Amino acid sequence: MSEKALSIRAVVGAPPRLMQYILEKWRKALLRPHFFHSVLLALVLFYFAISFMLNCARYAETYPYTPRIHDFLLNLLPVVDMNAFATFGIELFIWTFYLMTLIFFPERFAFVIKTFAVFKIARGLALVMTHLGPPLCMLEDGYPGSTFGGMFFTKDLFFSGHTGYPILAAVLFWDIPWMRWIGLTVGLMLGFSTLLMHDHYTIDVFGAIVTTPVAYFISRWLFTTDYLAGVDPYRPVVRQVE
Amino acid sequence: MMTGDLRQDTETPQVPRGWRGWKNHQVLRRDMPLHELLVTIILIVVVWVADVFVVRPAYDRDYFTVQRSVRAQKANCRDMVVDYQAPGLYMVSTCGRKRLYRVHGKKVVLLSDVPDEVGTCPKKH
Repeated sequence: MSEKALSIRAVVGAPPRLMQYILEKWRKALLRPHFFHSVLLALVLFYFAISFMLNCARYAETYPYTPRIHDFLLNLLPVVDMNAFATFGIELFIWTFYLMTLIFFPERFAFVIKTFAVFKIARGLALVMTHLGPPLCMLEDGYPGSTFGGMFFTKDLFFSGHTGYPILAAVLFWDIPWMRWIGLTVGLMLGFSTLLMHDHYTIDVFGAIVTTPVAYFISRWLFTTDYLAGVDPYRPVVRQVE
Repeated sequence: MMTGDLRQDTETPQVPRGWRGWKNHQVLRRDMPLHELLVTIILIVVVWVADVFVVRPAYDRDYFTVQRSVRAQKANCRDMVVDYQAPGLYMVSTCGRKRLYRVHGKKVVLLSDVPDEVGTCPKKH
């Protein structure tokens, strides 16, 4: 039997163009030094960041005597139940984004996960430092039933994750116009929907817009090697630290 | 001798000592040693144990007991806010009412139920 007959291509045919593109991307990503090392550390950091942020939210939730204050924009806006859009919208966007990055941009995956971890840690610190009650007339968001093992966060959550996560996705893929514009649009729409539900003060939404690029640049400074791996896949494999 | 392509110089096996040496060694290395995988797994376990057994019990259990109990009784609307008043006493503002609860272990007892005087919402939820 010839060698050609034994090859996978001879059996299933040549892969389609999209599959070729993905396989080529993965081949280049796996050729880079310590790819798995970087991804594993990213996942560890991500896990730690989630745990840290949730515990910070728990601390902020149990903090006593938190005042509820008026907000200029919220006083003008009606209370509208946007829970389905806000909750499922952010979940759908985030998981589609992670999955798409993993499939189509493996060289950026570690940096993306690490940046999201930095963002979550920054959010946890901001939660601990904000002792405010929820806005007046708040409508609870989240899945109906149980969220976070029966714990609901009802105090003010500075800054808004609904706004921050899609904008962070846009900042991470700023060089790809359609991803940039989708991220910015979804971020602003979800931010406005949380304002309509009176889940966040206005400053939470604007704070997310300001804080997100800062988290990105901190991550870029901390994880330069991962950032460079994503920016230029043809960069020389060996690099000397100055 | 530093001439020409930088890559030729960096491929030499000589690794200087100190922080930069360690960093260069990390960058130059192409494989993932087993001990790093083990350290990664240990880190995950340490974070999980610290989270579940050390950090979470440090929070106010009574607060979450009240929150869970009120939700289990379906005595809340979607604007519920729980506020600490005194040890074992919590005020729950929801459905246009203010309810005072006392915590007994994992159970709560309703002490008072009065209308909420805030009344700034355009509509009740």
